Amino acid sequence: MLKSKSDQPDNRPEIQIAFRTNENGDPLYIDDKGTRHFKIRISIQNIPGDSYAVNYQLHPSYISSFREQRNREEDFAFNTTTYGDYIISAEVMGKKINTIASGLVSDLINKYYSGSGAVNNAVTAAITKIKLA
Amino acid sequence: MKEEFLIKRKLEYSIIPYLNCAPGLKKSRNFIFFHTYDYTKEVFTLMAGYGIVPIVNNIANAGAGGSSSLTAMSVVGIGLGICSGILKFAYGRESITQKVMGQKKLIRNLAILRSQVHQALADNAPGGSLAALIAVQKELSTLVNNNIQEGIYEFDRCFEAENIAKSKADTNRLLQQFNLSIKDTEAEVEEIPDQIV
Repeated sequence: MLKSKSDQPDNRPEIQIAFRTNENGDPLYIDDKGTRHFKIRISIQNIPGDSYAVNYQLHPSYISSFREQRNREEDFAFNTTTYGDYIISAEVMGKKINTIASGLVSDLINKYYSGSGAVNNAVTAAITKIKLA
Repeated sequence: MKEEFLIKRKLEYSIIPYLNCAPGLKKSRNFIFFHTYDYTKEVFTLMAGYGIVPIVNNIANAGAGGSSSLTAMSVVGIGLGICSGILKFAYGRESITQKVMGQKKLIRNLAILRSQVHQALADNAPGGSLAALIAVQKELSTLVNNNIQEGIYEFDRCFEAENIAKSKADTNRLLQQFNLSIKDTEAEVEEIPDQIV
């Protein structure tokens, strides 16, 4: 049942991570005892037609490291926070096959901003902080 | 506070809606007609047999110059035999049988998971309830996905507004039963990190 569509690299589902920002485009964060927990929004791009849910596997340090999202109309998005880098994976549940997507959080944020053009110094600094945490 | 909020969200949106689908499964057309056929096929066969014997006798008697008449009982028997045949044709096929058997197994598995939810909520260790609920959620997710891919049940109706409202009410009842907070809202926990440093 579990397959990856390696024969169609361009159409594979991908995890997208973006900072939640203020009106200036600066990333929002929660300062908890000196640690910055950046507010992020995680979603899926290139969603296969028969997908009905996505199971995200986050780092074990999360209070809830397993998230199921069924909001296809919102690209299976959800809001969370991160203070450091880790590999996130997502299982896109289809009516016929499941597809796995994964990536390093900092790489996925970088990819989002390199494509969007909305990058500023605060965004760059936040990505660096996540990488070095 | 965040943990209890996440417990509430998991129950409301990711666990209880699936568990509440079990009674709906029993009301599905396949489920009802298959069991009607399954439980009554022996009776139908007997009745059909009763209806056929007089017909054969009548035909034999007519051939031998005797009078031909069908009794009310034999008409009922023929009718039931036809019904049995239709039900067998429509709901006695292997694919339907497998589907209904799969649904019965699914109902049992959902009942087991429901009891595991109760056990998870009763876990008094710090973070114990959430960790146990995540384990249940993963098991449930695998069960749901396997059943969708095998064509046993689509779970579409689990997420209709009416069922979500019922799930919320059931969640609040469960949380009260296990003395867990039900006051937290998304806005209240927005400024609490999701990760533990």
